[in-house]
Amino acid sequence: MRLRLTVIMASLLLSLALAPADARQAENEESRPAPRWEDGRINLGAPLGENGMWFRDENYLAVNPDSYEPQTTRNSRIHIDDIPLQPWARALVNHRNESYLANEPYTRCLPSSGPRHFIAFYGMEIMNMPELERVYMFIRAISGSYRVIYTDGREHPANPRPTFFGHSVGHWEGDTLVIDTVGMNERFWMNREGLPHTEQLHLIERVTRVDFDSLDYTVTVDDPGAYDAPWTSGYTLRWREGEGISEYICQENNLSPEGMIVGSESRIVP
Amino acid sequence: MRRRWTRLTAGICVFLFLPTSALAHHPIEAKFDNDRPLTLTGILTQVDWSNPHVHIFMNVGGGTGAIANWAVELESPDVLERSGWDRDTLAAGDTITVEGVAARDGSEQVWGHTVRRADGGEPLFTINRDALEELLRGRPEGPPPRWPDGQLQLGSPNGQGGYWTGPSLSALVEDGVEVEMDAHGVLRHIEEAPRVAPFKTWAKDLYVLRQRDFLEDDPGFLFCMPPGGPRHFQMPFPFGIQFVEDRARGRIFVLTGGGNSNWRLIHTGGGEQTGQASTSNPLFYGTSLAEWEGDSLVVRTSAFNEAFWFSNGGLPHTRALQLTERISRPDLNTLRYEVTIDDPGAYTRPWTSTWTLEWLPGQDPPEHFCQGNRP
Repeated sequence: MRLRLTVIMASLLLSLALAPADARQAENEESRPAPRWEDGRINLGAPLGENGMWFRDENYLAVNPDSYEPQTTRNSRIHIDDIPLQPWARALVNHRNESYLANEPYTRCLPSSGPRHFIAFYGMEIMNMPELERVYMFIRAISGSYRVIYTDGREHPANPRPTFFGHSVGHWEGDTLVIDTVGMNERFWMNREGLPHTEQLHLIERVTRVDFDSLDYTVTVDDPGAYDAPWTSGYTLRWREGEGISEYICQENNLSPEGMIVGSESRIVP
Repeated sequence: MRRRWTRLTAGICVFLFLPTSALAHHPIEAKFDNDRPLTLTGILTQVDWSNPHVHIFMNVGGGTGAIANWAVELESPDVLERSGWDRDTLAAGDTITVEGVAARDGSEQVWGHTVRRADGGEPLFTINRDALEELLRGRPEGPPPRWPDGQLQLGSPNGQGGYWTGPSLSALVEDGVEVEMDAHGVLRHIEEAPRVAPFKTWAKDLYVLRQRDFLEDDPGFLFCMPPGGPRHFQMPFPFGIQFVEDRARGRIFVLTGGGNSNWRLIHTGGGEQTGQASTSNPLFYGTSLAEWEGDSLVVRTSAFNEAFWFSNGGLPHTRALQLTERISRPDLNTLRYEVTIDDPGAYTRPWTSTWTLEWLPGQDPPEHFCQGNRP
């Protein structure tokens, strides 16, 4: 009986996870249309005079039944078996989960970029600054940091020094912000369950405010160093009205500074 | 007002003596001894190309024939890349010569001033104290940029990048006081410590202790605590700050590129910081409410915690700290920052410190996360 219930629950969750985007939208029939600026541009943030932020909605980058906490990864657009992980990368995912996510960079206050920061706890704000030809993303977790996307038509530098957030350029396709990012370092995990990447990582992210309360985030991961082919996943984020961004500094009470800065194997001393 | 500005300008006569490095992230003096110059020649074994400081490792033969592996600490990748060196320039197996200064504790570590290939030639890297000056040369000049409604613009003029860097004062010093200090706020003469600010006795003693330790207990260095208070206006080049003015919503984000790449939020529209910010949960950047008084943005900030140093140089503060910051832009390339410190927990009276920063057009501060790196 219990098994049967589990099977029913699992198929319910699976069908929810695999529901097409328009079905997900239908859940929000009562939502207002996405706000716009006076000139008709879509507004990815709060309308004037209001507050609000984007929050995760129990979506995950990939379903992984073998993960440390498999029950937390059920709601995703892709199953890990459908991600063309190279053997070493699959082995590394398994190792990370078998070792209970030890050395998870995020819990050591390291920034986590790409798909990870969109579902960081405590939410994020997206601020389009057309007069600066930039889009800023202000993230509450990730140690209160920010990401900048250049929308002025510039190209990636030829040989960027790898950084956590990499180098992001964006353009608008209708209401969708399309972001192209390279130059990321290997020091973060793309999701909590430890999907790896290399410095060859190239992300194409599509950000669309479907309606007032929903943000569709679709990411194509292209990394020939860790995956045999590009693959795509994403989430729907929810608008939380009235929420204003505020300070959150991870390292305030992090009792493992050596995990942040030195590394247990290091022989360099402060 | 004009007279006050002149008096303040005249008052800021802090003589900088050149430290080991004018650019470094943390006090090099705490770790390395300027009086112990050292030249090493050996074989490169590893390059660790990361912030805040690049490390290279080299095998050096000792007098007894034993080989020791030395760690050579260098400037940040951004600084090295500005001098034309990237992480692929050298490879394990190359023979190099490093000139620098030795570690105080006698360990096999050296702070590198100059690196060159052992077969001679131009240095691959040498500390360039004029790097910022060279970048600033030939900047366009002019009046401060303004928004269409005439209000002063603190950030980038339309369509151009840029940021504020190169503070004229490296640590808080009360206006009108002349002391010599280095780029990290280490006093040249420790007996001048009591003159720096109107300290309460305990605060002065703590300041002196931190100075005598070459600031080695700085939580910004040890634990990557953010540069809250006035400190993010003191970050040395290539770090710096940017203003992102969200005028539509009455907010200014101050981006602290360098000091952990944080944002600080200033409300200009009468709004308040919500969420976790409250006096029962004091913050690193505090809560900031501001209004424009003519061309000055006057920011009142409070609700600070005590988990960070609010200035280079190790001046203490308490939770009672309240700041009044007056930020203005007298011309295109100058940011004037005046801060009044009102902290009855640590100081006998309110006092003011003022400095300027330089506009570096056309670029953003390098991404920097202290916690991503080795000290």
